[in-house]
Amino acid sequence: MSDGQHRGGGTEQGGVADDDLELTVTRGRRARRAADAPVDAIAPGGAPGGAPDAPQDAPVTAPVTSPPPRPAPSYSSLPPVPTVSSSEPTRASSVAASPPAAATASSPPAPASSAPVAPTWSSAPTALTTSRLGWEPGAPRLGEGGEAVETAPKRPLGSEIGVLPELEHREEKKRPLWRHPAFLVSGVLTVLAVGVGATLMILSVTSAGPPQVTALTVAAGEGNIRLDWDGPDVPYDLYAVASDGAATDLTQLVRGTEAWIPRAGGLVTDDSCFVVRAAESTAGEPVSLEPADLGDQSAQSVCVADAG
Amino acid sequence: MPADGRTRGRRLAALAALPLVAGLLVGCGSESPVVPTPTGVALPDVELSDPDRNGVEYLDGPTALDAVLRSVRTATSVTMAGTFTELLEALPGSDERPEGRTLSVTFVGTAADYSARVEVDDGTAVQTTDVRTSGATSEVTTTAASCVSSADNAVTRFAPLLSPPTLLSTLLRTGDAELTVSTGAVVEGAPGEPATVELVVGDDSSVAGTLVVSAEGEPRPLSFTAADPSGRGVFTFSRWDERASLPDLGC
Repeated sequence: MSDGQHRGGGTEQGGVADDDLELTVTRGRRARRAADAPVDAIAPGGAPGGAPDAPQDAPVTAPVTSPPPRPAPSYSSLPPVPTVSSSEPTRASSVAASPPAAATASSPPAPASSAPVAPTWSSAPTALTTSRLGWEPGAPRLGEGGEAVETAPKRPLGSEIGVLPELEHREEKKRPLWRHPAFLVSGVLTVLAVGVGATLMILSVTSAGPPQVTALTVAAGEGNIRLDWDGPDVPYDLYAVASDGAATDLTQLVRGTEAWIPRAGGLVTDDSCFVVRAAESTAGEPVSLEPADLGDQSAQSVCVADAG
Repeated sequence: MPADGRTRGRRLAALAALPLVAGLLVGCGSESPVVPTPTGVALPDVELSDPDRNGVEYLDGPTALDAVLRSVRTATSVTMAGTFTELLEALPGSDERPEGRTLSVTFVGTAADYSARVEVDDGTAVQTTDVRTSGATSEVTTTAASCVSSADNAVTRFAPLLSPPTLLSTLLRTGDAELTVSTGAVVEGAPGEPATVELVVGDDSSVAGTLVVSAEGEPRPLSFTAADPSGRGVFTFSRWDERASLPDLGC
């Protein structure tokens, strides 16, 4: 891409845009050589007026007729350029712009042989004669009529200075396994997990469900029924379950771990059963004589009929 | 922005689902019905240490009366003795009402198998009637023994004297809304006798009667004293549930 642009610029810029030409030329020695050539060519051609015509056609013909691969040798092998350029300007101009200049009439046959590079550099000489030509920074500048003009050094468009600092590859330090971050993190997590697990285990062992009611016994007296059970010193709930399954809350009769249930008042009958369970941990749970429920509630049941 | 809207929508949905979930959890938690606490008895006051004490003193009046009557109905056998004295109109110039006829009754046995004697003293003569009932047959002896059906008028005319539960219910006027019953303290009985509780039965203005109930075992009545303008009665009950040997039917 840049190649095409460069080439095109070199040919067309002849007499159209001075600034562009300067830009193009300042790109390197190649450009300067191209500028050198025109100087030589100007002498023979000598027709500044004809130049404007040639560039007009050049944009059309030059890019099309000069395929990319051809200019390559002329660019890469700089030494031969001067010779080629010095001899070819006339031929090139005749190819690129055959109709105008009379000077070109003498070289019609040439294009077929060594034309490829010619168009690019041939148009330059004519352009250079009519416009100013810039030089590399610090180099003199050509003014009207080809005299050298001292100009201020031109700053290159590109900067040679690197803007971004070079990243230096830091040297990896060999650290021991136990100081590796991943190892440290995993170690901490392991300790945490073990701690949590141990805590849960201890909790599950120490707080083993609701207080268990054990050794529930019933003694049926003449006028009342006495219940007695073992268990920690916590509030207990006492329910009487009639033969039809209806439960009655007799918790108010509980005195510590025993209860005296008067027969008067129809609180209990000989068919009644009792459920004793810790109050706090089983609050709201249904009263049931099912062994599974009793087990879940750490409760025990006994019936009046069980009295010895 | 659409993503933001979607996020907001999701957040709103979550917000709306929160109370739903909470309600579900609460619903699950309160699923079990509240277990009823018995009424009519002062459970926190109950302090018993004797297996025989029935705690009738902790019942409120009507409940205690119901408990006594229920206990009486479940009893099989009883020995009852009582008198009922008729009160006549007071004489002019005197507050005392002279006593009229006196009716005394003794009853031994069960509801279907009993022996009873009714004596009516009208001041001049004493008419004694013995009733021996077993099942559907009764032998009524006034002057001479006669066999009749248990449903015969010769027997039923003494009702409710020949049925202690009915007699008590009648005298206690159970079902009367104005009746008030108050429970007294336990009175320790003499050695060999049960402790007792006194139930005072009355209405708004006066005492209708006093029922002494056993505080041990079944709350069976031991005595009942009642009085009203028509007369006064005293009944004692004993040997509850003790099978008595009754004479055979003569017919």
